Amino acid sequence: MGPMSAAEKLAPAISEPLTWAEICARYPDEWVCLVEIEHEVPNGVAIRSARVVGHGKTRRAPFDQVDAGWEQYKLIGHYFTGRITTSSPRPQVILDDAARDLFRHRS
Amino acid sequence: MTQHETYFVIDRDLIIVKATVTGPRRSVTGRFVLDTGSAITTVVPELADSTGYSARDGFIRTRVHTAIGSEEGYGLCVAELKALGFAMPSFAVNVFDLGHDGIDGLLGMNFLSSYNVELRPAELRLLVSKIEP
Repeated sequence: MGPMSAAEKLAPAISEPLTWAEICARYPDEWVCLVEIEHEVPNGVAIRSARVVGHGKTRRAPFDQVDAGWEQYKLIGHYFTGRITTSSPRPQVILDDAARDLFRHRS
Repeated sequence: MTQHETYFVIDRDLIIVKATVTGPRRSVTGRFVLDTGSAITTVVPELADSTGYSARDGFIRTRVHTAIGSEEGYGLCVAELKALGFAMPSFAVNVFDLGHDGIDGLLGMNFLSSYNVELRPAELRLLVSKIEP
């Protein structure tokens, strides 16, 4: 068997279908990329089951693993398994009127 | 009139909904804060990058005040933003590192103002209908 490619080294094996509780237990306080997501209810946030194709301590780490081996999935989920770390995540965006209009007119 | 029912979760007193950003490479679903105090919808750079965009695709540079100072973001027109059961094609977002774990963005008023949104916290449920022109 030859040496593994960089993609093979980086890309994890896809998991079996897991419940959200199992995902949180297996990857505590990590970002995960999920595919084949089944939600508890349509349009809901809560996940019934999914398969994990990437995980890591940073937001970017699971995306890197998706790019390395799971490009065939055109819809992926990106979720954090821990709690939100702040109660006030809102930035103050400084926009003049012209810039604000650019956002409004494009939406 | 189309009305959609959607569900949210509450984390740290924030209303968290599911939103999907579509770009040239793929669509990515993440957890967004439903934020009526935010004029502009915000997406973190890692999510924008994964959908196939970069700062070169931005239509404007933005400046953002944070607790540690002033940082730059950029305005980006994504192919589609889907949230609350509705899809908005060619939608403008501000790409900026929120710096907090657990969320991928803020669903702001430039999205919400196109809809009537009825919030039912006791049921963790939103009723959303599009405002007809």
